[in-house]
Amino acid sequence: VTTSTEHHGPLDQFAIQRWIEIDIGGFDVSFTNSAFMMCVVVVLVTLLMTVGMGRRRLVPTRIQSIAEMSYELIAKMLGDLVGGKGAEKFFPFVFSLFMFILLGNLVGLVPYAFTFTSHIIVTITLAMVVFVGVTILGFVIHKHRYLKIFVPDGVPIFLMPLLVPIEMISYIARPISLSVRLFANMMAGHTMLHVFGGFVYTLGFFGFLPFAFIVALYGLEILVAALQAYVFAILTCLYIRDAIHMH
Amino acid sequence: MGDEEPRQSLEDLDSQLKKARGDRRSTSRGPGPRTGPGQAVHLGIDMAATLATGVAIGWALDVVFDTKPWLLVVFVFLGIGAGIRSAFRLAKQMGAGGAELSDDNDAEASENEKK
Repeated sequence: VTTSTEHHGPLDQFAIQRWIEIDIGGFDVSFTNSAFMMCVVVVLVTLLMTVGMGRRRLVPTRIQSIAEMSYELIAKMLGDLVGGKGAEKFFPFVFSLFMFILLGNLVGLVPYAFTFTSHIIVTITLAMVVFVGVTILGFVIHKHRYLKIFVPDGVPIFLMPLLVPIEMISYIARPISLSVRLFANMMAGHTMLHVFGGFVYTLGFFGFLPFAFIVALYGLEILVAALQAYVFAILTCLYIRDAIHMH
Repeated sequence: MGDEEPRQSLEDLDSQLKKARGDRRSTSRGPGPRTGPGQAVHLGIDMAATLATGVAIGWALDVVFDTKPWLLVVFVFLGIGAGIRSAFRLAKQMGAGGAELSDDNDAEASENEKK
């Protein structure tokens, strides 16, 4: 029995396909499957918020209550973590970031769909936006005093040459850990699903065992998809808090 | 008389809601998932990222100043130090909310057993 899955490694699902080839000044800006999924997600988020809140009912419909829940989640997160006045200024940013990642993760779980958050270039771009934005924010609010973020409180002066570089390294490592966390979780999950999907076929009759496992794994993947978007949003809030309040 | 009972249950509901909200607030603080394995993965990625950053900076400075391999050696250790520092910060955080953390540890541990 020949099978078409033989040519499909577990990593082939992450392949980028150029759908419309575009080349501007030597840069490859083709419209790819990844770009397509991003457009789908943006349209979905927009639809969710506009249709959901289109007819504001006192007793919300299902879509309205999803829209309200996601709004409240981020609003509460900002209130708790950033706090004080001015926290709501960052709501549009954190909310769009959260919804983009959440829907990207969830839509990626639909069979045959492409998960753009499983590419590190996508997640590190999002993380760098947060990192650069937060750094600029810190310097705008505190001017040169923002550099004090590298100086830990209550430390004797002779330890400074050791501790300041350490603080700097952990500051610069932020976008890396932020992006690797999201990308690694999504990629590992999808690879695992594919591997177990292969087992279903090769085990023949006993294929129902890995199949049952896939069902459970899918539940876990949905949890991970939501959790990773949540973690990304929470860490963004924490970095914003650090930039505003310092320490 | 007939008015008394619903009022009673409404007040009951109110206090229950307040309690539930208070509970949720206390657990929603802090970065990342507040479960044992979740925090372990969180910390692991943090430590790897700080070490990688240290190596990258050391290597880049070596190339710029032409001092191979000394700055790389120094920055590897600084990267390890930064990793240990984030472990230390997490430990301090767990110390702050330690009691409640160990409570929901077991319940949610099975949920989060990924990697």
